Amino acid sequence: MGNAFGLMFIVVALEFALGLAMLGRLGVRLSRPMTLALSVISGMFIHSLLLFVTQLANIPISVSSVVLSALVGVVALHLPPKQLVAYYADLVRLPRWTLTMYDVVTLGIGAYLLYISVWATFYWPVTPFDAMAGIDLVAKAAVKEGTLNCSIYRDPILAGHLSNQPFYAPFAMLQQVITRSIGFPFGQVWLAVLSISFYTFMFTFLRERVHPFIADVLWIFFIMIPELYGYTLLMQTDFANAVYYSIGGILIIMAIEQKKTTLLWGGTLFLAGAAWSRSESFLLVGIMLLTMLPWLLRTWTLRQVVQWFVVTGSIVIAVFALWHVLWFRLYLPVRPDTAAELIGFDPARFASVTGLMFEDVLSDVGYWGMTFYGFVAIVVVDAIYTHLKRLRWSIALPTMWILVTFVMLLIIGTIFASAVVDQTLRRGLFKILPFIYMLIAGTTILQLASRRLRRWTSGGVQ
Amino acid sequence: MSTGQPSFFAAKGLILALALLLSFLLVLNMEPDHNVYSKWHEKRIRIYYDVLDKYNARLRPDQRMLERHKYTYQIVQWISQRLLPTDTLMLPPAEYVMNFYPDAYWVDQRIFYYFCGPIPTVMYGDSLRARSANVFVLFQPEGGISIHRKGGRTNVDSILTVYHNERSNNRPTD
Repeated sequence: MGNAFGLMFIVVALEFALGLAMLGRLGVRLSRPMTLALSVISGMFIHSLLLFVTQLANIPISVSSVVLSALVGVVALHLPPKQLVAYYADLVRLPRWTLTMYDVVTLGIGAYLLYISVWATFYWPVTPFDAMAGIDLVAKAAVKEGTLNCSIYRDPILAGHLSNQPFYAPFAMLQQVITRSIGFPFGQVWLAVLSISFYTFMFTFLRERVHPFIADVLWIFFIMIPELYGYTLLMQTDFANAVYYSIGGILIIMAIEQKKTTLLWGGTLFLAGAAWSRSESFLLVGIMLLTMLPWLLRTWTLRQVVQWFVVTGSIVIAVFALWHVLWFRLYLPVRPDTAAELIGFDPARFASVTGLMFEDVLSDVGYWGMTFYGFVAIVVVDAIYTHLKRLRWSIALPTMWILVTFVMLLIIGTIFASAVVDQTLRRGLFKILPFIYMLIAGTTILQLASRRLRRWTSGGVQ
Repeated sequence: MSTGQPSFFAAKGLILALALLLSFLLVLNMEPDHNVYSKWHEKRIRIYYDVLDKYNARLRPDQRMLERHKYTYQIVQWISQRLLPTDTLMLPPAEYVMNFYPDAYWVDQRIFYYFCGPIPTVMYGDSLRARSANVFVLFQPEGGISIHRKGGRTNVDSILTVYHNERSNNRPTD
């Protein structure tokens, strides 16, 4: 097992280097902790893509191919190294981050809560039905046989019984392949790497929007969302997808707010990760790109927006097609019957899905803690306080991501027969949770509280 | 650029740190019967801190499988170890298994494959392949489990009747 941990350290270090180099190539400049967290998250995505490419080239899956695919990627991204050397130098030069005592308490509470999640990803075997019937069923056989085109797809025992789980978007399955290959009997530890990186990102991101003390409080409540926390240790596609989708959205919002083109390209990278981690995400991403157009056009020229839009759309579609078209059609002996899943749009079913979503899912504090009730309360109080006079971008943009994603989830629940409200859509809501906390942090009343706190705390040191 | 944050040992920072810690403890302990965070903490965090040593003393993969999947893991292991290379197992209907155990996800062919590998199985109700099954499972009310082969002492038709009745009795009415 010690060997597995050693290899895991090497793999995560390579993924970090991959992600950092890619962010450097895109020119994404953020605070140091945020850059470090996003490097790991984007590196995991890029590594899984590279491993998949080795499969397209018929290179067998093994510890060597897992490590070398990442290593080759790191080397390739550093050629030529000049631009990256400057990027790394800037990163090292960024101002040091000073912790306060309440930050230490917050990080202590976060560590206390997340330790069990990390431990569970290492200790427990895979549990969710969908993962045992799909993601890990394929990964387990793929590692044993050295190929993703494994016996699961052609064994007569399973013929006609595969359903759609073994055909899910490949990110989680490839992560299982990586962690199983390097010696973890149940894989899954990648989930801990992803969730710690994501919570680190949220910790630093919220601090940039609101006073660190308020950000700390919001962050603890964010960790304590029962359902989201549950999927930091239960392997499914939804948590990883929410991580990529929400970071992609947040980077695009930051790009618009700060008028930084490089952040837009950072958004492209993470939205591609969203399309790689859940099949229907390419639809959601497409709709969200269209939704952002009015704001993009206020910030950049039509030519710049069209260029970004076309390139981002093409990358997202290409990533989707790599698995769902190329792999299914040219490599796998069987394909899912997606057409049979589509049942068309029925207004009555849409009304029923919407009703169930509110009654059974959103209103259940057992899933979300006080997130949704608190969100509604703060937004209502904020609206009364400000008389809806000035709708700032820091409110409008996350609101669009929340509303449009929510409506799209309802539409997906309506048109796909297998999308179950209290399972598929419930977990689909993970995608909007970071935007909700972003929006709460941006409300006028919390901004006002933030300013007062800042005045009070800085008064003590000046 | 001033961050407006107090230095590490500033009194105001200490006040905020204490306020944060006390609030957190309050959120976890206030009204434990009606407080979602308190319940979540008890069921998802504290319970594991209480038994970490016990679990960490059982690190073998099979021990961890047993801890997590409990009787399901025992059942599939027990059955798979008794099958011959020429056997094809009929996986009983979930309705029948759930008379004896709360969960029956192992009767899905993919899950049985996940646990035991490529052992020939047929799901109850698979009209195309049902005839190829030659091994059947029965549970006893007192907790036992037995497998029966076609041509053995137990009449296979009687087992299939039990399966059929359980499925019929538990089928939801329109």
